Amino acid sequence: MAEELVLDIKDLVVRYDTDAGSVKAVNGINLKLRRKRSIGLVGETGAGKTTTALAILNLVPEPAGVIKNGSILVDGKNILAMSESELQKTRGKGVSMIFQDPMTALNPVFTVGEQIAESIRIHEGVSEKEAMRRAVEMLEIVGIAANRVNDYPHQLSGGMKQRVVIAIALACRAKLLIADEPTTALDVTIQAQVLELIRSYREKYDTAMLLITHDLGIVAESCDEVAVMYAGNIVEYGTLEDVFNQTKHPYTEGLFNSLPNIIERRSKLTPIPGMVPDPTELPEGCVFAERCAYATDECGKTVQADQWLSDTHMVRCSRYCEPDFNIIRRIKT
Amino acid sequence: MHRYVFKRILLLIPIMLAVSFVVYFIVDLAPGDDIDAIYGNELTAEQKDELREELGYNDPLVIRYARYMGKLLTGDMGTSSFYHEPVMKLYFSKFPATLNLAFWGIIVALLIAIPLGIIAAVHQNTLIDSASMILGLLGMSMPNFWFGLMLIILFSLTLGWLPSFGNESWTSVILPAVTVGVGQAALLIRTTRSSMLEVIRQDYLRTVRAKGVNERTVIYHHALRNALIPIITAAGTQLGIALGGSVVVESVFAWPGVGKLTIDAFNTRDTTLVVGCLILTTAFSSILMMLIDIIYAFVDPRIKARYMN
Repeated sequence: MAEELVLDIKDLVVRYDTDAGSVKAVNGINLKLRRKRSIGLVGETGAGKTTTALAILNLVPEPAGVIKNGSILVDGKNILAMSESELQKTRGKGVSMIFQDPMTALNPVFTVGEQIAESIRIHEGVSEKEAMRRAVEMLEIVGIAANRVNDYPHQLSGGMKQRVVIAIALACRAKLLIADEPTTALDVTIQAQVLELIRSYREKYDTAMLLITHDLGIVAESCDEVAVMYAGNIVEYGTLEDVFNQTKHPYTEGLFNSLPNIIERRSKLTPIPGMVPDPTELPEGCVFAERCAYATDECGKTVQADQWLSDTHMVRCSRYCEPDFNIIRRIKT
Repeated sequence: MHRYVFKRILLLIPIMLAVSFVVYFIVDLAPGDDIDAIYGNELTAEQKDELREELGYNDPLVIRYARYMGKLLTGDMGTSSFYHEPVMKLYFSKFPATLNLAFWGIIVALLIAIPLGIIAAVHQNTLIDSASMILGLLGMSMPNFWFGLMLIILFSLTLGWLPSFGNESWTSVILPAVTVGVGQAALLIRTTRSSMLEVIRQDYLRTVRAKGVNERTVIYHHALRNALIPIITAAGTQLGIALGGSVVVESVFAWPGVGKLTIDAFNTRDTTLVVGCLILTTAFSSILMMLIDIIYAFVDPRIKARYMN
């Protein structure tokens, strides 16, 4: 293959075995990411986005979380088959991750400088002093003054903490960056700055990115491809153009319809009716059938297969095959 | 930071005043005094009353307390009626041995408890966890005197490696310290385990792991530092208790500490010595607690920040 795959997830299945039953968090997803490219992983809370991300680092919280099946190739090497020491070399250097909640993501008893320098020291084999110098550099790159290097997390604002989390993730120029809702905790005004920061950094170091978000606007701004996730399944996948303008899955449509309409301010929001299915008891057939406006009796019974519309566009919906089937978009993007 | 330390030292004054008054008051409630203890049947009841009147024993409690404290400030805590020696001198002839034993005892306890507690937390609900909990329980349930005797039988009598009594050489402290430490370790294992369990699930450890840090560093560097405050509190409390001396351990090993001195003072109705021992012991415990408060600030920058303001 000519294309360089940075990430290749095949048939990944992750469960959380709890007393209340087995939570089916991720149910056989496939995802490919090429060098320099970026995928937006979109979906509601509980769709399995973060679990997927943690699986890429092999950090699904044990003992409840179990990766039941599949393989995750990072740069051609299977993360799930690595020894502990190989994993330690890959984490932070091959794959790094920006975590979702900056309030809890930093160790409260070490300075931010120490926390950034730690990964540099581990992966670059430099002296403590040199690592610290580069940590200061990283702080400045993410827009924090160098004199804050000896501050503890509690001395920083939420936005600054998130920048520190980003600095940690970017410190070793990983080939693959996983960004788990990097801007959710931030003010709208800072969101754009942070996204711009990540973008320019990726450009400089040819970093591929898996961006997890529920904000379609952010996806449109910073991704090449989109994977829409629902109840542990990828229900639609394609380029921005495919998914945004040729929407094929009723759930994706629902996501677009539930966006606030800026042009017609007085129009009401159209939420998707119903609730996300209980992940311990997923329906037999299509996971979205219960809430789907287009569902037939058949949908709830048959397991949905991936349908490829083109080389780039995939949808997991059997109704798509019917000749007179059409999705109605309320607003134009 | 200096202001914080200074404030904590100032706070010792009201604490010491309150504690000394309570001690003085309670001992005063007990029947009999050192005039009874000294003269017993040598003097008649009238003669003793006269003597009491003369020495100011019949003055109101508050006045006697004030007089006592005034003398205390000049370093005079009275004379023991049993030993006929100054209380200060008696206490400080025994205190170094107690301090020595308490120090090595808590070191032994921490050396046992921290690794076991961490292992138990990391392997929660496994065989390793249960094994360390049972070990802890064993340490708690074995009576001190019995365990001490077993140590003497094994290491002094059978193997002949260590002295069984007294405080002559540096090896003398080993057996009593192990006896004290094993007892203290039991509680500390549990504290370490529960404190580590709380920290081990925190998000920031995930961030650390995602950096590629090895598991050892994750646990001993990042997690332990966060779990340390409750462990220090528990260890400090135990050390404070140990500073009062342990009658049992001191008796088993013929250790010349303040525990036995205090109990003997009670038995001989040596009220001056009782009051002196209790006040000095609480004074050292209070100073220890103050030191622990200061240590907190160095372990956790958030506590330090709170005190800075």
